[in-house]
Amino acid sequence: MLRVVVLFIFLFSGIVQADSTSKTPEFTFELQGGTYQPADENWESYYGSSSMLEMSMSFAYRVLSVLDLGTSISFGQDKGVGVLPLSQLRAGNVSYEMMPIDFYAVLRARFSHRQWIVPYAGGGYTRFFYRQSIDGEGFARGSVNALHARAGLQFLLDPLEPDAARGIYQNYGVINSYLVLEGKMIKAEAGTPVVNLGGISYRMGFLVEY
Amino acid sequence: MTLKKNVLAILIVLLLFSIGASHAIDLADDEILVTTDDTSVDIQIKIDNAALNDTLVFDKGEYTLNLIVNKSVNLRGIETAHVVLNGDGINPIIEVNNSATVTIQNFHFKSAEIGIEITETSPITIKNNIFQLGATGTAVLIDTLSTNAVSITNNTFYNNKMLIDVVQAEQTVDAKNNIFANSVSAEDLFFNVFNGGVQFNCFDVIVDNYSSSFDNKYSLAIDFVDPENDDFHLLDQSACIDEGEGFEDVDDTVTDTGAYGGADADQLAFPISGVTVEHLVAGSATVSWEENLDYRLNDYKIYYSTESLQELNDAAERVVLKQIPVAAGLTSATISDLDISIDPPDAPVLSSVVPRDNTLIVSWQSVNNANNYTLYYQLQGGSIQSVDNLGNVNSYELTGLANGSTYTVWLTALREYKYFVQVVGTIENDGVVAEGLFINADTEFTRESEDKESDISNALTGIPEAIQPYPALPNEGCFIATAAFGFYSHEQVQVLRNFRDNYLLTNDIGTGFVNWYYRYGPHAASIINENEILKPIVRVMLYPLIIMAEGLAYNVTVFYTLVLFYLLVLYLLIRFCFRFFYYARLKV
Repeated sequence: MLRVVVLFIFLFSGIVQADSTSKTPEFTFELQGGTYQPADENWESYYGSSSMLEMSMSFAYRVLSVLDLGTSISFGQDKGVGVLPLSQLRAGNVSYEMMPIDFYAVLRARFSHRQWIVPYAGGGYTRFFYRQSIDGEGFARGSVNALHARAGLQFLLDPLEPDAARGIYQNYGVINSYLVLEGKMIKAEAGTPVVNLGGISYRMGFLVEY
Repeated sequence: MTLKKNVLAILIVLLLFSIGASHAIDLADDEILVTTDDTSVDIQIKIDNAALNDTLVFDKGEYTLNLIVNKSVNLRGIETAHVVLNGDGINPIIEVNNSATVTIQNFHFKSAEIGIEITETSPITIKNNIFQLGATGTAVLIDTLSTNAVSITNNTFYNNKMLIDVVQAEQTVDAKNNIFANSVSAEDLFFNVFNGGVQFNCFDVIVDNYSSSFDNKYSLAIDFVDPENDDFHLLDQSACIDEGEGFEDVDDTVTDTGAYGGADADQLAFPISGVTVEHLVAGSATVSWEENLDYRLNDYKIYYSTESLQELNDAAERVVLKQIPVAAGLTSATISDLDISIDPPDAPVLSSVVPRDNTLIVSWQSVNNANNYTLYYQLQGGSIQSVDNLGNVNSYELTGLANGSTYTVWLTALREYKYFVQVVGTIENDGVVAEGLFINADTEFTRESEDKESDISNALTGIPEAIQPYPALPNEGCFIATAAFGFYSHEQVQVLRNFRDNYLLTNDIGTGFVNWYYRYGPHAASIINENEILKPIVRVMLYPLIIMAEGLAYNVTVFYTLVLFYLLVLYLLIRFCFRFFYYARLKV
């Protein structure tokens, strides 16, 4: 146990020389991909799977070294079947698309620019856009207000290839780059009776600071 | 699972291979197929990659080319009349340079300044081609100081400016068995210098400025079948028949001059055209066609069968069919022994009725010998309606139905009284009659009054209804209509939604209106939702639009114009109301 604690102190404190530069980043840009698991229990019976693929792009401003304010846009799509209301039979081809736009604040446990692993957590407001298409029968679309929370770990990549990291900084101004693992939970409800559009995302991504 | 996938993949590959093979042209090992899917660059690559003495075989179609042949490969069209080569507007269609031995045959050269340009060449043969390059075109340009032999044999030159232009004087060019006709100007002359033999050619004018010539025919009536439609076969009275050198024609007589004479001429004539069938009485029909003027035509035969004749390509396959011989010169004949004793097909079996939005998808099992179906449907308590002539299918989408209503559906199968006819021209060679040169396409004729209808199928019921996506989310489209009619899936709302998707979102003006509507519609919808008295008023305003939207199924132009006009009126009215209430509030 003591070894584990020592290891984490070692990683978080940035004892290992890992930087390409000591300049303080101001902005971050991130691309992520993963799965979104709707909270709706019946989702799998209509769409064949309990999750759908999701892509995301984020941009944030570093207000403080431990605080990012940002916005992100995600897109997820799933294809399944609809239902005939009178007979309650499954029928037709239905495509569900969602596009949550997030405005968030994230606190990062980053104490050194050479820190290998950076945990973070935050949350914010989401405008949840959706669209449902039925083959040959048009579409429904709309948007609702929602909230979300996110947390994850950022793994500094620069120590793996210090020379390359230095070159990227000199050529493109990228100060640090990270591999990101993130979980995100959305709470969104729409319509009457209420439909739960929320769910949990599991994503992996690539983040650069500049 | 993996094994199944592998087997499936192999079957798919075999299927694709067999499909490809079924359309393939028979080629020898040293032949390479060229199709109209190939660009000029693609064909050039095939030439560059070809082995020495390989032949590129061009499939039927029209090509735009600038090819450079710089080694011993041959170019051949699959059918002279229907492999048409055009220039790219700048360069010759084919340039031959630094070559060993090249043969170019069975092409129709059109639309270029220069058809074939030859520089620094070894022996080259140009035969059985048609050159028709127009008022400024030169068919063959020979521009080299090298001493080589160029053989130009059995070509038809028609409507060109310069036919064979030898720029350098030292060349040996043999021009034999060609037809030179309808040149732009006889003064422009055909040749500059010829050291070779110019013989057995057929001219429609007098030409005398070449060096070595004999046995040519001048000022002849060429008499092509139909040059305006690219048929350069010869009429019976043509003076160019049997005027060439050799005995290698299809009819074993002296070789004809022109593109369709000689041993390597393709023997495909223009097909019999204009075939029509007129039914007289039961079991009898009169077949008519346009006369084919090709002088080689011996007589006609009419083949007829209850099965399609499209795939029958030679006389051996037709021998089992009924036939009527018709002498050349006639253009119609009567068939009087058509069998009309057909049995009705079995009653079909309906397998499913699947509901959709205002639609029922009806499926049934195919019936042997049936080639048409009639579908019947009846709204509960309503009259019986039918859809005829569905064709030989096993499902049908019955549209225009009312959602939520119960329909009963059944059908009958029909066997049509149907015959297929082919008119074939024959050619006689040394007493042996061959056929297949003048085949017309399959001509199908039916007589509906002779159709046999089966007993009716089983009946199934279905209730059309719109599919709801899951989860049932609110739609922010059609806000006003949804608010006025109460719910999203209302039939009238669906009509407007279809109108939006099919007629508004397909053009800029409509899209602009939809965007404007989505901007202000939710506000209007919220006002309607809060004021029950407004709902019937809005419904009254929307009903004309719904009726016009439904009318689009009958006359798009009229109802689309009406809809746009009505939308404009609504737009102006809504703007007026907004302004009125806005100023009224200001005064308060």
